[in-house]
Amino acid sequence: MTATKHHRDSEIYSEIIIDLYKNPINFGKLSNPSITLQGGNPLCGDEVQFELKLEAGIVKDIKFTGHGCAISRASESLLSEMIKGKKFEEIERIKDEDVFEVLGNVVQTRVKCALLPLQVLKQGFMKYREKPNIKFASGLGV
Amino acid sequence: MNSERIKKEFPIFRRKVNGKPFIYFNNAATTQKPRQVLRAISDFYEKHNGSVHRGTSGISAEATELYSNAREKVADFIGAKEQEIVYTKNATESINLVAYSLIKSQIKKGDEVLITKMEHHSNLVPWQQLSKLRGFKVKFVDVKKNGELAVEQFKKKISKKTKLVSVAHCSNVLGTVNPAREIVATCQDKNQDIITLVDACQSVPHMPVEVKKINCDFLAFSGHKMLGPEGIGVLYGKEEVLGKMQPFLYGGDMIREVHLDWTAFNKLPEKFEAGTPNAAGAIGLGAAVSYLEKIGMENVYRHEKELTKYALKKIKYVEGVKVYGSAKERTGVVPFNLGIIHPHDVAAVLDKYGISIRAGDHCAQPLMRELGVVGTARASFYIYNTKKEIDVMIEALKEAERLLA
Repeated sequence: MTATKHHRDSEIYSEIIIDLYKNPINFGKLSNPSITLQGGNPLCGDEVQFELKLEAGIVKDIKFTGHGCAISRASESLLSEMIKGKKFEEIERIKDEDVFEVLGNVVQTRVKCALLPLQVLKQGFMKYREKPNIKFASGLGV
Repeated sequence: MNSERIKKEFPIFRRKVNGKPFIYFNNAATTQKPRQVLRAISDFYEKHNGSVHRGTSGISAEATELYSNAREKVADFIGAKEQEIVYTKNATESINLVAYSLIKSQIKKGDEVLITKMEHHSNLVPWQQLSKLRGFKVKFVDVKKNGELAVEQFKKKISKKTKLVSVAHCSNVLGTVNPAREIVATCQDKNQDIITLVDACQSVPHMPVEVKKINCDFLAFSGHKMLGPEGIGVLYGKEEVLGKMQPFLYGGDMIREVHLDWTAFNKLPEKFEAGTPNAAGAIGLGAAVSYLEKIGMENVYRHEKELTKYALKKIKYVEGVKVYGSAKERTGVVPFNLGIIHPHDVAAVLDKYGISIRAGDHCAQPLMRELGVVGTARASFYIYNTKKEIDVMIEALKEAERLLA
C-alpha cells in the first residue's frame, strides 16, 4: 500500500498537510444544502460534517465543519476540492491511493485519519442512492 | 536509584527511533523488559520446558516447580498467600473472572454494583454488559474537577442491594491515587458482605501495595505493565472468598474428579486456572518481581514522584499547554493537551524526536467526557526514565506548538 511509504524523514507531516490544516479550503457552512453528511471516528474524536449542494447528480458546492487531527482536516479540504463539480459516479471511483497521491503518504497508524473524509462521503452517497430524498445522514466513517 | 544504569539493562534502549535515542513515556500502557526477564523466559524454553502439573517426568516437575516459585514471588510481593494468587492473561481477564464467577450465584437480578466514572473500560464494560444480561444495576461514583474521586459518595451510594464495589487504585489517565483502604473500610462499615475489587494495574507496578492493608477481597493487575511479559496477569483473591466463588472457566487442571454427570473442582488456586497455563509468562513475571524488589518499590514510587513533579513544573513553560488533574496523591502520569492541537498530532511530533507517548482516550471514554475532551496526550514514567528525557520532551512540545498552533 502506498500509505506505508514515508514522506521525507525530517518532516513530521508533508507540507501540504500542514498548509491545508492551517489554511483549510471550503471550511464553513452552506446556506441551503441539499444534503448533510455527518461522520467521524469515535476512537480518536475526529468529527466532520459535509454540506453539499447537488444538481442533476453533480456536486455543485461543498463546505465542511468539524474538528480533528491535522491529517483528517487536511484530507477534508482536499476531498471537498477534489469532488466539486464531479458526478456521483466519479466520486465513487476515487480510490484511497488518490488521496495519498495528493496528501503525501502517512504512517500506517494514521491511515484511517487520512481516509475518514473519503469514507464519510462514499458512505453518504451510498445512502443517498438508496433514498434520494434524504437530507441528512449521520454515523458515517469508520 | 540510578536510572541511567537501569536503562542499560533494557536491550530495547539500544535502538534508535527516527535516528534519535529512544525515549519511552508510555509506561501506563505497557513497560519495556529488562534482560533478566527476557533471560528467564528463554531459559525456561531452552532448559526446562515441560507441561506444568501434567506428566511425571523430571522435566515436567522442573517446569511445575519454576511455575510455583514464580507464584510464591508474586504472593510475597503483595503480601498474599500462594493459594490466593490466580494467574490470568491480564487484569482485564482478572476482572472478567470475578464478574462471570459472581453472576453464577452471588450477584442476581435487582442487585447493585458500584464503580466509578474514573474506571478504565476493563473495569466498566464487564459490569455494564453483564448487568444487561442479569438485570442488576451499575451505579457510579463521580470524579471531582481536580481529578480526585468524590470519596464521600461511596457511603451514600452503597445500599442494601450493593453486592460489589470495584474501583481503580490509581487512574490510568490522571495518575490520581485513590484511597483504596479507606474506600474498602467504608464498604465494610456499611455492609460486611459487600465484595470489594481493586483494579491495581497502575499501582502494583509503581508503589508498595499490600493486600492485607487494603483489605480488599480482590485485586487485579497485569504483568506487562510491570516489566513482565504480555499474556500473564494476576487476580489476588482472599482465600475464603475465592473458596466460596464458582469457577470461571471449566476444563483441565481445575478439576479433582470428573464423572459423566458431575465434577469435583480442584483446590485453590488451580480451581480458577483451567487449561495449560502460561508457565513462561508466569516465570517472566516472577523475574520482573525480583527485579523490582531489588530496586525497592519505595524507591520506584519516589523516583516517579520526582519525575512527575519535574515534568509538571517544566511543562508549564510550553505555550498553550493544559494539564488535567491536580490530585494531591498521584503516580507518574501526566495527561495534557496543547491548545487545540489534536493529541495524535502532538504524539506524531514527539515521535520524530524518538519519544513514545500515548494519545487518545486511554480506554476511559466516560472519564474523557467528564473532562470535556475527546482525548489527551499522556506521558507516563517508569524506573528507566530521567529528567534529561523530560527536557527533550519539553523541547519537542515547543516544536509541536510552533509547527501546528
